[in-house]
Amino acid sequence: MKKIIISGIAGIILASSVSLFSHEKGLMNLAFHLGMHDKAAVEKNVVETLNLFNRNFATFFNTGGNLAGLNEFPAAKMIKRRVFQEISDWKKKNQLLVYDKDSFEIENMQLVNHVTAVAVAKEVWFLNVQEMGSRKKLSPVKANPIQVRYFLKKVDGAWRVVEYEVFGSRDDIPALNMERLYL
Amino acid sequence: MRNAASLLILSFGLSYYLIERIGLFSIGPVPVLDVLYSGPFLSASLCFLIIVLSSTFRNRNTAKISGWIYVITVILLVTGLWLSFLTRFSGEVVITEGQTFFSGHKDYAPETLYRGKFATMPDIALKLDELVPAVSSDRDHLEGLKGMFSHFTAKSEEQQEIIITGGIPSFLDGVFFRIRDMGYSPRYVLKTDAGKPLDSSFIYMKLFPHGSEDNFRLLSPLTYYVRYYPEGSEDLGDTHIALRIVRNKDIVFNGNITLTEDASFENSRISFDEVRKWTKLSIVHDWGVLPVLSGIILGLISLVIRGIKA
Repeated sequence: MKKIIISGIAGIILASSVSLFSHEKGLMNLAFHLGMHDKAAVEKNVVETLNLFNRNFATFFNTGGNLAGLNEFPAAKMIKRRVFQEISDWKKKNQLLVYDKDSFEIENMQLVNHVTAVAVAKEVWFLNVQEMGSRKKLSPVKANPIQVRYFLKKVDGAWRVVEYEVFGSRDDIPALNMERLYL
Repeated sequence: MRNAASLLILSFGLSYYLIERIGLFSIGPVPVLDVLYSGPFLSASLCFLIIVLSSTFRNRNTAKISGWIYVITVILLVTGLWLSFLTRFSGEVVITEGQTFFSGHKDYAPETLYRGKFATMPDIALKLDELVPAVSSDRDHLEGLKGMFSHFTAKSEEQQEIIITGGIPSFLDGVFFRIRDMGYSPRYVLKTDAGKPLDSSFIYMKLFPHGSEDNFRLLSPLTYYVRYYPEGSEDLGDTHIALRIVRNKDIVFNGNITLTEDASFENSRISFDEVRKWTKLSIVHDWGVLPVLSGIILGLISLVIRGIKA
């Protein structure tokens, strides 16, 4: 009986060890599942990332695509591509779209695992089209109140936005579909 | 000693499977096939088979029938596992009504695709003629799914009507077929401001249950967010699409349109002229299924015999 118990326990310990060492950051994953992670610090990092994201986002538009800050822009390649594609469209017309942030407030944040986070923010931007060189206003200033759901992933120790969804200020935000985490 | 070793391996295999499926040390649960075909699990199964065989060989003169059944069960299960690991072909593909699927094509969802080292796949072509979903009374979830397919083979030019459901897999030309999940594929038509069509295509979207939102992008920086209400919604009685078009963070259109109605935005128009249903067709060709199933049945018979004797 003693042998049976020892064999059973040895099998469990061996399986745990093999599983632990076969996954990258296995201990961090375990700590997250057990709720033993510093949630406040992670949330602070995510907020800082989103602030940097929006600062860079607006700067790119407002400067007509000045590449200073591109390396620190915490965004996936596809987002960068969409931003610069639009800037290029405006430049072809000798125009730029100016994004002026009025408010940014995070409504809720969900840490899916220790490398994935989803945050919903209420934002108000003032937008107007300007002539490229003279900065002459070509359109009235438009208030653009929106809700944005950001999908973030931690890569090489740094958070970055891998996708975001934009909703109207009064639109209901559909429930988060885990299959569609853009990861 | 051998009993202790086989128990250790059994305990290891079971614990490893559970730990991986729970996802204790990983970001999320590890898929079943990834666990079964992992190095540790396959090695453990082989060690277990060797221990059982050597133990049986030592006691071959005194072994009872139940002992032999146990050994055959283990042989069938382990052989089946390894055969499956080496010969299995499985994958899932999204198929829309009216669309034809060829087994040799490359559009399998990458996360569902498994191709063993010696996997083969017969040439099969299936066309989804109609998808009939059974939806719950609150219209929120699927209760059943039935797909009417036309089946073509390379051997004959004849076309055969077959039904594949979301329940027990259908067996056809050595391949198991099953369908799961449902959504809608609207066909968008992008036009100039004057109404001249520029581009049109069906887009597979997760728009079920009704009110679910999905989005798509074309070559421009615009994102098209779509919700589909085939039976109308609280606000609007007719079939309609709730459409939102966003250029980076600028919403350029946000409203409801009926099918074929144009939504105008930025010197362009878009309409959704037709909506079809899609489902996910799962394909499995696996030589290990038969030995594993035989092993399970034999194992159950062995348990029943032991129970009767006891």
